[in-house]
Amino acid sequence: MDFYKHIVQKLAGEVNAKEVSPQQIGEDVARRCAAVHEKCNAFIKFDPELIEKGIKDISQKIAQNKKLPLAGVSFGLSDAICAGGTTTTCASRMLESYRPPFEASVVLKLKEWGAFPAGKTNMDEFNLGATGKNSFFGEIKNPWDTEYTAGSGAAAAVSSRAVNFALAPDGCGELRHSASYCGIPALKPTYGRVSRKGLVDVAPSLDQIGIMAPSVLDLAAILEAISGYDPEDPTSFAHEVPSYTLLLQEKENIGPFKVAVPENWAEAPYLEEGIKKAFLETLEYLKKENFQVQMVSLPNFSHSIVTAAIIRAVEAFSSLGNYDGVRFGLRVEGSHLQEMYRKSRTEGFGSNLKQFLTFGALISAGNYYGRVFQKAQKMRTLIIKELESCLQSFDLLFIPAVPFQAPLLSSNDKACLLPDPAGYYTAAANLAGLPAITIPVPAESVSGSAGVQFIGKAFDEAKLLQAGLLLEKENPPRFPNV
Amino acid sequence: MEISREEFMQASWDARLELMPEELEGLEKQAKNIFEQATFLQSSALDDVEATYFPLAQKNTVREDLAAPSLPLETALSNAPGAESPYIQVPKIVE
Repeated sequence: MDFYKHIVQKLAGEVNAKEVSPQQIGEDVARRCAAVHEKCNAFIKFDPELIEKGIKDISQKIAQNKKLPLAGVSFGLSDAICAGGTTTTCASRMLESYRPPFEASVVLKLKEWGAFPAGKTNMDEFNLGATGKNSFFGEIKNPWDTEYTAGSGAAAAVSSRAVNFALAPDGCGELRHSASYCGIPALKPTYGRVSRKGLVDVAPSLDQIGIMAPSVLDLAAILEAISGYDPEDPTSFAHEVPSYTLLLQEKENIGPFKVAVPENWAEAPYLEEGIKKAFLETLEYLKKENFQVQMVSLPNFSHSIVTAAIIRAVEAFSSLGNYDGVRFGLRVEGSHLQEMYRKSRTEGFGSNLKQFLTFGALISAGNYYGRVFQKAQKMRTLIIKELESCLQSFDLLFIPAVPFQAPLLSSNDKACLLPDPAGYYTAAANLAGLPAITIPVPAESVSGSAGVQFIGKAFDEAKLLQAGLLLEKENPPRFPNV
Repeated sequence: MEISREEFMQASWDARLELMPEELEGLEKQAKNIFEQATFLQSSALDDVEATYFPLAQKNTVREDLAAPSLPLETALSNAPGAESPYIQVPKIVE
């Protein structure tokens, strides 16, 4: 059975036509998820009952002859996104047994469309980074080579084709980093394109739910399913949702695009030769496809990762302030309330997170607030203006996704949060709320690929998908054997 | 930007955390790292720039003023580490 190889629309068509039963799919998905969990520790805990429940729901609807656009399509759900019937831990001891009383809007939408969650995927604690080393539930290994990080369990599960797609948060690029490490496409939508209700966010002005999938067509289908205004999310926009999949089929209207490349793109710290080479080769390919490529001056772009790290630390200090052992989460008893707060938080949070929150507390207060945090917010304005001005004259910005390939799990040289060197190329899109897509292209790396990235105008995901499809045509995806 | 150990310890107190000595050392190194890279924040080019707190402008995001049921009490208490309906139990605040 090779359902896992089908694009989601084809699979849904087969299930709706009753050529394939949801039970067959469920058994196959359970087997593949168990294998990737064994190899990569891709899930917080592998729970076959979650799959059974999802399959039962779909079977009932199919038996009633309901046509479901994503019938039988399985997805991994990052454990920062709330789902019913299971825990949402954010890979933290603090939330080890937390069961949310509601479900994320994106999950509700996907279930209505006939998709089912196959498991809650592993991640760095509260999605602070994609090192794969900071989860309370153990390291996340790359399915291509388990000595290296996958960045996230979602990327490991999609790359291994255990699930048809995955949803995961992107605060400074983690979704795009882990997708690059595992050699799969990923899309971070415009801020407000997709409801954030049910996302346990750390930095509310940066975090967005994104998609990883084996192909650009799959990204388009899922984006169509989860996009749209949500009255329960005050940060969601009432912007029309186009039919992304139809737009991708209109091949005569695709490109060529005017593409800007920051002239100092090669100055990223830790930039590896393999990544540089892959990016330059892809640039040449774009030119051959009649893309108009031009180097542009974006002097503030290189400041985006430091700017984002400062803003993120302050927002995290605020957002995670309610994890105190009172209403939910780990409680460690104390002789008085303050002691209970301190002990619960100290034992509930991991070491990296504690350092990050302490830094956030430092620059939220006293004279550091004005000298550091407010200045970072001003730099944010300049970065946004620079990007918007550039995108007035160009369709897309084109840059690498991550300066390096998947790091070794045994190495610490890139495992830093202040700032995270992986975010050099990705943080700007989060600061500006702009959409971005990562596509794997051939490279000398553990996965045989490197991620390249397009950033587009707000709510212009269609162009990103079209550009991604053109690149993918030349570089069909590859998947490891698990 | 030099930050004293006392300032870091005060910050950890504010964050309601206790850091181990090696964690404090790790934080000091990371803070030094980021401040060395953040010298652009002192540029006078930022003086007259307005700060951005949210990526895309939004206004008046309020919902319809309609009454709706709130979370049932038992559901609200279901994740509390110590609860005796309808209360959540915590250590004494006042002696």
